[in-house]
Amino acid sequence: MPKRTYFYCMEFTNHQIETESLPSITEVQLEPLEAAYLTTQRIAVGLGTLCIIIAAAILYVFVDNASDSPALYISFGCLMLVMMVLYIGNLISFRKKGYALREKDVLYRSGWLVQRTRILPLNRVQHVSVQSGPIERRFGLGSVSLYTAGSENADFSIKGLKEEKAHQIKEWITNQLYDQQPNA
Amino acid sequence: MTNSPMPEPLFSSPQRQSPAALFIILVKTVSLFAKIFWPALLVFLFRSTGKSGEHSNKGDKYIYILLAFSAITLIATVIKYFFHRFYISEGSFIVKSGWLNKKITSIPLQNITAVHLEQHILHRILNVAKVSLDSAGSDKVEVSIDALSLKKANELKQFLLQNSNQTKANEATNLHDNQAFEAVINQSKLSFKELLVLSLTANHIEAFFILLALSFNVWGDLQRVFKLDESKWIDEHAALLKSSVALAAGLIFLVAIVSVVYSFIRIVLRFFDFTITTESNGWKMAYGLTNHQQIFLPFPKVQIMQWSSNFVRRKFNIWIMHFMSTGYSELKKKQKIHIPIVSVGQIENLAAKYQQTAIFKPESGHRIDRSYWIRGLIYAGIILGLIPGIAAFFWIKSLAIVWVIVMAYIVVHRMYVYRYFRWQTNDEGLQMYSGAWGRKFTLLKWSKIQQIHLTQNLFQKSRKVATLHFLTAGGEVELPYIPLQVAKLLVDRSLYLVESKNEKWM
Repeated sequence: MPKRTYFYCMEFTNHQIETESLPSITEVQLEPLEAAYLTTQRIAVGLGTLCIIIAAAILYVFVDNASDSPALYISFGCLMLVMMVLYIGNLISFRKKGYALREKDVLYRSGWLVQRTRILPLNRVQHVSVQSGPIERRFGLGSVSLYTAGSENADFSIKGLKEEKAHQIKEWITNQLYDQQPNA
Repeated sequence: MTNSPMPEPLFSSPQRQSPAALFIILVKTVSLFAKIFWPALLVFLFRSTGKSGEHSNKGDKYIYILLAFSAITLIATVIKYFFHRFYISEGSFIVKSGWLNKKITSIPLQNITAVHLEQHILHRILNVAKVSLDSAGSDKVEVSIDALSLKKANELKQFLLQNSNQTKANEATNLHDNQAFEAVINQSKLSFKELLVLSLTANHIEAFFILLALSFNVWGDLQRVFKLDESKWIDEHAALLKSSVALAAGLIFLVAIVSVVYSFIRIVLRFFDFTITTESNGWKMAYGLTNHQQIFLPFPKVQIMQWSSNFVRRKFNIWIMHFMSTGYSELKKKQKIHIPIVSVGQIENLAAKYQQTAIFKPESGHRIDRSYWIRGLIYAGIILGLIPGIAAFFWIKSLAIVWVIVMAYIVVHRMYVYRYFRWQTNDEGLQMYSGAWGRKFTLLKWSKIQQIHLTQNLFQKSRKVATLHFLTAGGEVELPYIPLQVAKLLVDRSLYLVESKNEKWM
């Protein structure tokens, strides 16, 4: 009796995939961010602290009875505490931050109290941009932002890269996009 | 032999909306003004008539302002109507609008993913419909025509869908040849009895809070208008309340009744005459009494599928299906469509269009880690609840007890979530079953994933567990507190499937 075959069987394969042979995110070596990035973060916290001190001084000198009000001292103390936590938090989280580019996706790890590893498949990237703020620019730093569908803000940004490197990464990802777009 | 002229293609010449649009735009503008200026109108109507001496001069002034506003509104409406034209040219749907600020919007027909017809109560009286389009382009394009005669609206809808489908048909690889477009596969309607049960089993507590928020808002506006002295009012009524416990109980009962009636009416109006039709390329839904809507949702737009039931509805086997899909703009907006379901068979039919793998039996699924509720016990129960509660008991007795009860509720809630949470994966995607008092099923296809986030707080790190967040263009699915090793394996596997298959997510 002839063996029954269907035309679609010819191209269809269904080999078993060994889960142990899958590329694992555990093996990825994350690249650290530039040390100058920590300095820019320290400057940002320093500027924020300076603004608070100036605002408190203006209130103390120019507003009647402000110097007698405990609310001024309490809120000033709380804000200083927040800035201190931010300063320490930046220091600790900087050591834990890192990124990795793989053939098919990008990884970015951040966070101190809650550590978050973001993984973005390249075939889902809509567009890429490079950004740098005024402080970052002075240190020759930039960040790469990746946009996917549904992300209202660019919630995938690799910060603390050398500006040149940021542009190189943008170029590399843009080139990859042409190869990795989903099948029609 | 007669030489008849070639018929002109449909909608090829610029045309205006139905004359009924004039009236609808006018009502829209007036209601917008009324919404913004109603406190001022109240002042005008009540306060100016209060003092007869001042009335004549001030009253006249108000009347002139009102007349000026009315004239501007009327002129704006007429201009808006006469300068709004639409037509189809060179494969695009074009809308021209504006007089001083001219605007031309053009949407290529093949980018149109859905055409919605809406009929509010005014539309129904005038026998017209509002037409709005969804497009797949990444620019934020929103086009709507306020009023077209129902016949013309249906013709336009058919024409636009046919043309967009024809283009898509060439691209589509997963459609069988024998399936004609718009072929009805399955249709179900919500009977009036089912609608009544659905309305009565709504979450009335939610309605109570909506009413409360709304009444506070209106109360605030009224206070500003009439300069009411709140403390005086409360003092007077509080004294009255104290005098009678029965009155207080009556008041609570009244609010409860109003809440039930309110949520009942809200749901009846929303889901009246609900019909869902499964076609070869999407779902067509029509519902609503005062605001009649016709929605077409193509299958590929659905990113996550969920169906949930509250504590009471579970007993009646009534579910609400949530389609979490991409909205008007591919990049920016998400869209959630909620529809009522009254049979398990119907759920299976709808879910099969999204994930073909059968829905898993919760008892066969994996559980989340016990540390999920232990964390709740430690943080909400002991650190935030019990310790401050006992300390505060000697200071503010009743408030401390309320605080402890709220925290205890959070702990119990977390315990029940842990107890009933189940999940399972298959080659197509993830399936989840969750809920403390109510129940919710969630389906996610791997191909819909845009990003994966693996998070760990300090407590999770000590317990070697992690939470996974699967981000899609229609929202996020969270799989909490699973062993770290399993989470990593799941990330590797889902990434492999997303990256190797390279399927379209929409």
